Amino acid sequence: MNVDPNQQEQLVAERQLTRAPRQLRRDRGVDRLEAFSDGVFSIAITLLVLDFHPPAEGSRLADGALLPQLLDQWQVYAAYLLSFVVIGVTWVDHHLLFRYVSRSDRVLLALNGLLLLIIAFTPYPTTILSRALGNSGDQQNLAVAAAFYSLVVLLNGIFFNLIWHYAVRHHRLVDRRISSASLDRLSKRFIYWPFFYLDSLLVAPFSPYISLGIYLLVPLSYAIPNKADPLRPRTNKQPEQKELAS
Amino acid sequence: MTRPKLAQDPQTATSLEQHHERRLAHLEAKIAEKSTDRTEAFSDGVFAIAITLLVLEIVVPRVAGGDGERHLPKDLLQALAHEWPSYLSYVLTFVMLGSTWINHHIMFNYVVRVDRMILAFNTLLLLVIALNPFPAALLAQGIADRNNLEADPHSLAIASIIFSSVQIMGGVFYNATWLYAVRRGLIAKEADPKQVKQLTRISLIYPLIFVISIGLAFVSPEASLLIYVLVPLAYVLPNSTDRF
Repeated sequence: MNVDPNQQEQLVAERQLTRAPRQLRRDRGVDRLEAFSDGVFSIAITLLVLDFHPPAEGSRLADGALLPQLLDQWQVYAAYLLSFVVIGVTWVDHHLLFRYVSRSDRVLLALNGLLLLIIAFTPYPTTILSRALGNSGDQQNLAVAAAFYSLVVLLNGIFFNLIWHYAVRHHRLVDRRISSASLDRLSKRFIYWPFFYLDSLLVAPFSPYISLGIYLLVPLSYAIPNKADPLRPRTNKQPEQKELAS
Repeated sequence: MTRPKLAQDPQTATSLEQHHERRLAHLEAKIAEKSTDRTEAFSDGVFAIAITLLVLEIVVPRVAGGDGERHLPKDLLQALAHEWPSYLSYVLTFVMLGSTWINHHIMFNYVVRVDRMILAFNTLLLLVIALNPFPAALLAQGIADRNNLEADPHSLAIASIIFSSVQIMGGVFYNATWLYAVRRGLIAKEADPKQVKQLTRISLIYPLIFVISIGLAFVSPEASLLIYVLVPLAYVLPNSTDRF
């Protein structure tokens, strides 16, 4: 692998910045923002479980009826998994974003609030979706539910990008020592999200199942190794451990 | 921990370095004295839970009665559109709590120490914050009842008065927390008195606006809804107290 030594040096320096323990950063600018956001993410992702109901609530189950009844609720599990992945993936990228963005201002807090508005809302379209999958005879309802779901997640992607672009424009809330090239790489990584979701919104009225299938592409894209990703697991070849110790 | 060397001559020091120096002094004060970290973390938790629980108040449309419990109505699009008061109330309350959180955040940029009393005032504020999903649900019902001939014609006015009262209670405890901190010198020594005064002014206006919205609710409950839209937006806008 041929890497320009200057570029390598820059990358090492940036890794140190983005991985430095907080107290060395002099600025606690985003600590509370992260704590608050983590709270909303974790509660929203946990509230998804409220859609689960024990089969035949309030009445006795016939012998051998439990398994088929549990399997009969597959759409609840599917919607749960889907939203868990959507919120989880957003959280991972939110985490990544705030390794770069180290200061906050009122506008950033407000934009972040808009993202959280959507994250906290996600359990609702999830419930609608699982119910629509439940009465599968009704294709029109399913299309509406899939489109509603797509719309919410599309807004999620748009607000996420708004936060990022507001913060990195002219290094507004990012350490000056981080290169524009690195920021651009991340911009590219974040920007294709909303387009995925826009696709699924447009497809929803025609084929709800394809629309939902598009969501599975997003976590798949996470399995593709990405050189720009500072959260990528370290290999022994990387010299940063020594650099950090010195 | 050694302090980084900064330019001594105030003429040559850049504003960024001054900012960092103030920030550092502020951090050292936090470490040396009774820090606000746990208060902030606890408050963040309560704000986050209250704001996220709002979604539980949004009604999932379903067919009425018996077996239809978990079935969606025939025309889902129309049924979803029918729930618009829930969405409106969700967004209004979310933005209201979000803007209060942002201001709480700014307030605790200034407050650097805590004592028993300020913890008590802050906890009372959180009591009101955590209560918010209830007035949010009432407001959604009040808006929905406008077109319902069988419902109480004053439904929206009553919901709006309760909603405003909750915001007033929150505002009162918010002010108690801030004014107590200023009185008892729990705020950073480096804080600019002008900014402190400005912050006091901004906080005091908040509950007063909702007193006005209660008055408005008697004349036109819809007008008080407009206040719920405008006030949080005004409280999110940048102002002179942000830079600290």
